[in-house]
Amino acid sequence: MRRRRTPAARALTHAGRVVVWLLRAGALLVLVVPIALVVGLSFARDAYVVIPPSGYSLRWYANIVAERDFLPAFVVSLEVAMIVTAVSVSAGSLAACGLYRWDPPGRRWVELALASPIMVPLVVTGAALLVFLNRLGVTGAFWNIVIGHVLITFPYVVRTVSAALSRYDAALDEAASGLGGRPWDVFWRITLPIVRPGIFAGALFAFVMSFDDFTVTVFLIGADMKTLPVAIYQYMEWNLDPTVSAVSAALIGMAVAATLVIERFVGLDRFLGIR
Amino acid sequence: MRVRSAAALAAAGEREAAGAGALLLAPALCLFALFAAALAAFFGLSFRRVDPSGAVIGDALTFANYGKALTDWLYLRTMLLTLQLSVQTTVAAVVLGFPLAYWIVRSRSRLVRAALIVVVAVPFMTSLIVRLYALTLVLGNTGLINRTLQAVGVIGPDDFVPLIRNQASVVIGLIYFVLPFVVFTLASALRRLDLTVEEAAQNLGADEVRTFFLVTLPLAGPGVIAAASLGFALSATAFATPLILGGSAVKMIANMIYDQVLFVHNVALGAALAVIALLATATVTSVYARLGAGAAEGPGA
Repeated sequence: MRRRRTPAARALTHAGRVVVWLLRAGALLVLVVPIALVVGLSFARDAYVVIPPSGYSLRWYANIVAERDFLPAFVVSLEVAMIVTAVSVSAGSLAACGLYRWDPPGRRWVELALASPIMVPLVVTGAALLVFLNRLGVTGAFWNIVIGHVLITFPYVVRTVSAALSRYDAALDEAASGLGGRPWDVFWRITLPIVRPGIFAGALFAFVMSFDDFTVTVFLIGADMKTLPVAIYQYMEWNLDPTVSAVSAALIGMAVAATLVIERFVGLDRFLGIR
Repeated sequence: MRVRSAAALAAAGEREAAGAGALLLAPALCLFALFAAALAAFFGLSFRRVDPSGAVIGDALTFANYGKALTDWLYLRTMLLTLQLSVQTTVAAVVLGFPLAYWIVRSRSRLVRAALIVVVAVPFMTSLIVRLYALTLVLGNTGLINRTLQAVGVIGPDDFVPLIRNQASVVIGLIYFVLPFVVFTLASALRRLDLTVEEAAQNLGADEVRTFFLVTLPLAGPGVIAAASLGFALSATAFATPLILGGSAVKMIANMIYDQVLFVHNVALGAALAVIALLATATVTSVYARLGAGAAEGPGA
């Protein structure tokens, strides 16, 4: 049974509730307003960003194509992200399985080594790659960007696949080997299907991180080779028109789609580590 | 079919597993070797002298770059500013994020829960450059906030509150950048708390405020530390946020490294600054790993 409360305690509780609701409202405003605003302004008619817009049109969406900078950069970003996802998912998943099935003597060190790119600031990774690849004489911007993105994304795949494997029953492996399965068959037919959600989460993470990366990429771009985030940045440095709003709205649409895909196939709370 | 003793089978299985394990780890270890080689090449430059074009002079090793980075007021000020903005961001993001995370975890309505997760996840999944551009439309001199203040008459029709290219705009941008990470880390920690403990506290007569400060918060402590450390590490190494919202007026350590490497062509000093930044973040990351162990394992965990 609850004790009766003094008016002071009740007032405190009331004040506490008000503060909590204000903080919740504040957090939601911070998260929602910028994105809602940019989507709304992408349909503006004005030649530069005016709030509120004098009218609405789709002209800035048409201008995405006319500007000739955004579509090639989008294609580059897409190609890079697809190659990066394939490489990172392969290397990362194999490594997670290797760590799980085989207890190497320095297991902790191997784990630390494979997680190390996460701990290094992206700007340091970018600068280091620039210096290192230049010294080696590797100057193809496209493949340099791919290398940079692989290095920053594969540790996340190791992590998501390891997390999926930690829920996996090792007895299945033993049973399969005991029944005569070769390691490769066991991997392909038993392990892989079970860790698929972890691989899927890692793939999505690698793709999104590669597609969105700015910090590492900005060190590795070439004169005619840039990704979409870099193209957006360069455009907004010199132009005030709402074309960037239209590009942004399109990318936000992609992010919403990706969010729904994750919710459907992995579950958002699992993907984001809430569960 | 061959008959093998259980022991022989197990031994053979272990040998095969070890061979397969080494093979499975090989591609990722090659990637790590590439990463380590690049870092080593870059960090090696921090002990060298370079001429104004960026070429290394001679073979002699020197600590001059570290001396300059740690004594020249220009760089010290940048490090102190980075520290100050990151602490401000971390405190604000945890204070803003905690009630939201708590709401996500404790809401009884599936619909509310799902809606809140989507509201946090969409910015998380959206390109940072896009989000920062969106924020310039909110904070700019003719942005949403200034236009609203003009419309309600707080400021004159031609006046504006400077909310861009200053420290305030960088902190707002950093809060916006780290808030989803902080909320998800807190939510994953809060989810592990036992709801009945809070109920017990309230049944024993504690009011909601006391329950929160005396029961919920101490139990959520490791999660809060994990979220704060992650928020701090992300803010302290932020590059795009100060670049777009601070411009030349507010530079953080990452921008300083970028400028040294690409514009000033003093790769050696850039490398020394990078080593200092890496050591500072590694310290925070290891604290994060130690204090927040198990509280947050990032995506997919």
